[in-house]
Amino acid sequence: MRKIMIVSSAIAIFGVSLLFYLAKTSKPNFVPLNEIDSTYIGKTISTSGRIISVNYNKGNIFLTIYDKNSSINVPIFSNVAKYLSVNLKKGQKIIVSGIVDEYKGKLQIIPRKASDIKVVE
Amino acid sequence: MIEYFLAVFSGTFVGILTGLLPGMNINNLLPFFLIFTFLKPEVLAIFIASVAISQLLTNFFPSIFLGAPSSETSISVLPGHKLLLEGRGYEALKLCLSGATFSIIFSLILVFILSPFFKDFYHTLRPYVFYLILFVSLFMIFLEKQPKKILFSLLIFLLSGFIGITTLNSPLSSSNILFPMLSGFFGLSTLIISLKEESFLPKQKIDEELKIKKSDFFKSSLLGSIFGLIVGFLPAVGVSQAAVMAQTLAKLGDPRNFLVTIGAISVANEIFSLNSLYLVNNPRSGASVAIQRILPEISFQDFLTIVASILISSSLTTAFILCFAKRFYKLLLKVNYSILNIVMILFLSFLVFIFKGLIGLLVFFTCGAVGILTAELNIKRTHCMGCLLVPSMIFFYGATNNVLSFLFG
Repeated sequence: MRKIMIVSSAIAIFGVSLLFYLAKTSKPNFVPLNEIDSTYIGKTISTSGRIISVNYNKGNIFLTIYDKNSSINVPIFSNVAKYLSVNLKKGQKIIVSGIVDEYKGKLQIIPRKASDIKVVE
Repeated sequence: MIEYFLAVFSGTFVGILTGLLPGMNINNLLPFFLIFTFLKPEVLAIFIASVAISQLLTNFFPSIFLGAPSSETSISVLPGHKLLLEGRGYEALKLCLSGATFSIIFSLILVFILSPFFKDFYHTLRPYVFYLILFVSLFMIFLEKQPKKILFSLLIFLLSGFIGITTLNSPLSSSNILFPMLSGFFGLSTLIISLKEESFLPKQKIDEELKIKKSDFFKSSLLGSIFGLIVGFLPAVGVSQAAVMAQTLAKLGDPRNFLVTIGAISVANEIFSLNSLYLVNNPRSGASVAIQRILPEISFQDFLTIVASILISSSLTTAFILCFAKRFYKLLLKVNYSILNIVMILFLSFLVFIFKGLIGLLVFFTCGAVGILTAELNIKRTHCMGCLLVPSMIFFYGATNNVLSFLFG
């Protein structure tokens, strides 16, 4: 095997392993709610806002949070909602982490696990 | 009226200056531009559109001549570098820029023909995008023909896809992370391979002739405009993914056709992003997000004014960059090409560190290593586009959260 192939394979394996470790242990970047736009679709971020609406439906919880004249939907699906230890209510301020997606033309942030939702006030 | 023209000229000037610097994305500049609140909203929107388009077109220059691409032009390095080493670097640049200019006309025609259907376009198309990307990916891999090469291609595609998910979707994701990733796959690997092979830069032919049939040129430019439409309307699909889809589906094996298509997609993407903003108030590019903030209610007249500014700005940039390239190549010939490659590797590493820090450097060198490995395995480096195609595929399948949970807990 050629030397360059061995070196590039070694760098690739080391780099990918380190990236994997960092992705597993890093916390998502915090983005203020009013700065989230469609360029964030597909990215994992963290944001905060006050709950202005809560709907419970078949084990799923649909929140809308609001901050600085902007709002975003936070669907918490049943596989995550069943592990929530807090009761989410209107007026609570939360920090939520998750992946940004779009549903019916509106942006939403989808948490992956119960610990992605933290009530701060 | 005069202020509109001033906005176009100054925007073009800023776009050319920043476009010569790889990695300087319009998104880095937007927070600064949004401070210019003393300008009329329409004037500021025109300025931003002119910077965006001019920067995009200027990016082709460092991408082709120096192997130092931005995230939007990264895929042009491979065919561009091939023509540069044949002494046709100027022609490569001209092909990209001409494709871009013609796509403005094609895109406007498409806008007027398809406007009544645009509102439903996204919802109609979205369920099929997963299958389209899957088909393109498999098609691209099986084009290698020999079983051993197909296996290697699949491995590189999946490895690149894993890097893509890790850097674009995981908590490591951040704005402009595409720059170190794509510069590594396509820029760094090209520069190191040139260095290893002791390539030299032949005398460049500076003639106005484009060695491409007129029919092929128009076909490639129209194809680029159509794929630009897809990028302009869909989230999570960028210029590079669209270029690979167009290349694979239309079998654009010839580098000239591919360069025309890449140029066309880049500009058409901006036009359709604006159109998406006007029709469904849903911006798709960094520039159109900024324009939405300045002009929350964009009218048809605003849309046409901004498109006119794009037309003027792209014409000015094309004329300037072609003149600049004619003079620059003489300077390039005087420099030892190996030394130039080393300088460019150091320069790109420096820019990556400035923009994205140590994580950026890790991504840059890892992707560079995968790019070199791909070349050493004698398979096409476009398989590295798995870094964008795999995340897009899982996004449109609606499985991003599941995949992230599986990989990162």
